[in-house]
Amino acid sequence: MNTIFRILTWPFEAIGWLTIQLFLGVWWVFKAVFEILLRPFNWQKMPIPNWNEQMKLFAGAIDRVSTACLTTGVLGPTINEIFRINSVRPGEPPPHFEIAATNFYIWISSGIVLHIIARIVLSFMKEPTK
Amino acid sequence: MTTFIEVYNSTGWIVFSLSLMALVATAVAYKLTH
Repeated sequence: MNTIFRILTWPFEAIGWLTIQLFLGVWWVFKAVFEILLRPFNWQKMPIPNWNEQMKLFAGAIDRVSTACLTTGVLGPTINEIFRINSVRPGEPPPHFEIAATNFYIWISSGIVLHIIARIVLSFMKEPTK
Repeated sequence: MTTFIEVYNSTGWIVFSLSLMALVATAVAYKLTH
């Protein structure tokens, strides 16, 4: 029940967090720093091949994050359970099925969502003009 | 007693929420540009 509640209400949590950030003025500092950092890239006048390469690079970065999600969330715990590398306490019982299943579900779906984001980012590539 | 995988669980929820937020932001950007 708590899981469903958290899935349904995460946008409100995000909006609340953003409101707090706006109230604290963090957003304006972030925006200024972001603009200063991105000014040398000159997005508006960037040649189309360069823009396409930027999008490819960005999509690849997002897809690497999705692979990292699978590594940390699925491969890591599984290998840890097999070899007991990071178990500080010897004789620690295996995790409850619900916890392990939720863990796998979260990390696998995060990886899938990040891969979808990478595919959407690839669609931001432009057609070269003749 | 907190096991190793339970720590991963809380981190996973954060990553999951962030990825959903990023998906929404990307979809909005797609709708604005296409």
